Amino acid sequence: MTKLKEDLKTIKEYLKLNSQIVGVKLTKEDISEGHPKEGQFYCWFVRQSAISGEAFNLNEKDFTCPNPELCLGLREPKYVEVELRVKEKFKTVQVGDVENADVLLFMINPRQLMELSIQLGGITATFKGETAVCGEATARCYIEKRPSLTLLCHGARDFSGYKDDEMVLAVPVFMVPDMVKRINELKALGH
Amino acid sequence: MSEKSGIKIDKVLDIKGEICPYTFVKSKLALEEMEEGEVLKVIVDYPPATENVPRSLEKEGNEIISVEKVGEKMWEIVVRKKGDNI
Repeated sequence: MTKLKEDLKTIKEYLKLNSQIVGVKLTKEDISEGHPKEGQFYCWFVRQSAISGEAFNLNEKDFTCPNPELCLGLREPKYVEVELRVKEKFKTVQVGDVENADVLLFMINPRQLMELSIQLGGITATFKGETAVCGEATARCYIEKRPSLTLLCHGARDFSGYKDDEMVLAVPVFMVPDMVKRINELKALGH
Repeated sequence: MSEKSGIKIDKVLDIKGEICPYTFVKSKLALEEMEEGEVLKVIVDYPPATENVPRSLEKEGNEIISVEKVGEKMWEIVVRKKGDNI
């Protein structure tokens, strides 16, 4: 097991997290394998990966919601500028594998979020219920290199199966060692 | 029914106040009820809808005729329903 996977195992156990931590990587490579049979919302693929551990390679044709194409750099806007979009051009979004990921997505409940906020030394959150998992979580975390929380959007809750107590926190991979260090400090204090 | 730049508009869908995903979901549903080749005008006031409505309809093979800003915060999207013989 790699150091990253060991660290994520420590975090999962501490959080009592039943779902998988989902890695997201944006790549300029046009990857032809590993695409789903049918299109879905980006937030659906993320939830599916969190529940089942499945990994997906996704490009424009795989999304039935057009927002991730813009938020994650697969397409440029034509008519208006869009908030929270990765302006670099990418061809494939890899969802699932944590190794080499840019961003880690935690599908969590409020208590787990509280624990994560302690591990991260606080989270400054901005969200407004639109372009949620793609924009508010993944894109903002990728762009600003800091944790980003979303309480999701109607797309995620009404069409992608997220439960009322589920939310998504995006964390840059480079923050994982400090999270584990903090967990070990907390454990030493008896938490 | 109305005309816009010589194009006959068969149906108008006013979804001002809606945000995504209902902007493109309602647009798709409206188009589903129309005949092939008919033209739908969608009125929106949510800026991202000017991107996600045309894109989602275009991905299903429909023809985006125009996307036009018609007010401070209002846009009209005109789309023709796909049809094999169009």
